[in-house]
Amino acid sequence: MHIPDGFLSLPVSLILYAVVFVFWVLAFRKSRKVIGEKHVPFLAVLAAAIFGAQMLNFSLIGIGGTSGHLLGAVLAAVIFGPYGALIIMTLVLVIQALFFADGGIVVFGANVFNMGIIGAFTGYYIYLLLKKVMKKNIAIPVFISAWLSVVVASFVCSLLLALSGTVSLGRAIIAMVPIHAVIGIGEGIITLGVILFIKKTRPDLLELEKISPGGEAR
Amino acid sequence: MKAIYKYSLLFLIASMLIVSLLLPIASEHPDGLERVAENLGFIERAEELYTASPMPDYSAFGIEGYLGSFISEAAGMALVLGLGLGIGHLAMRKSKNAS
Repeated sequence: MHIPDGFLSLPVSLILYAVVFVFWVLAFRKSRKVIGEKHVPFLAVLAAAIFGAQMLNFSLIGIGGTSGHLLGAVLAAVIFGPYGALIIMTLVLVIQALFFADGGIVVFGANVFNMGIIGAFTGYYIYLLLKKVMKKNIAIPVFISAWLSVVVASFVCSLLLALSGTVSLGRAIIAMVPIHAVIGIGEGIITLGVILFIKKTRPDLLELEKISPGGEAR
Repeated sequence: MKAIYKYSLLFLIASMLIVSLLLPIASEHPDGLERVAENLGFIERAEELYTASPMPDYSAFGIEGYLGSFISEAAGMALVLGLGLGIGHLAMRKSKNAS
């Protein structure tokens, strides 16, 4: 869902740069409370892994000639919280934009907003809510929140396109949301697979919020 | 302390291996947004304002096929990792001084 330059108007692009900047400042303040120094390597590794995974486009069943790929926002948020996920998604998006021409430069703020903020925050809070309801089960909350993060991001992407006068809101939503509801299934499966793997191998990484800053635990 | 570094390294190697193995079967079809832009006729609005990227479309320096994708993958993951380690340490070190 990387928006190229030209799809969004300049005012929309600039406002989103400003919004994202505020969130970046917040992210650096807040993520310190969750992420200790010793978790920095895993944060960077997870960002690198998400970059790699985003290169793996999968064909969509039932929608010919179209593919999707992982976003990774919920995967990152389940481990590092929404602000940590924003940092991770920003890392991935900045390298993609600068070195691979994937996602525009003027619209870079919009891409961070859409995938790093909307994707991570809506996904994360839905995950927390479902986790509370489901008690011990994390599989269903992970899958649903990952799926939803893609659908909501596609909805917001439609909104941004409409605000920019690129296409009418109704046409954008009708086209964007159903395709991303299918892409989201892939997001759910991959996110769930990785989270279950981490739960099995390093369950403490799923409980970072319980570790005090500085990270004395283990 | 040591265990998390070792785990991170193994996680990195495993993800590189998995991505490298799956790259040949990755779909070349346009993604959801591109498909919609084509269908609704606003794909031609896309502009290349920034042309300095060395590996556009994940074809490293014009190398086609698997080798180009593989170099892109390795370079991209290394760049993200390096930037992440740099920014992460900068942010977390400050917090230590502050507290």
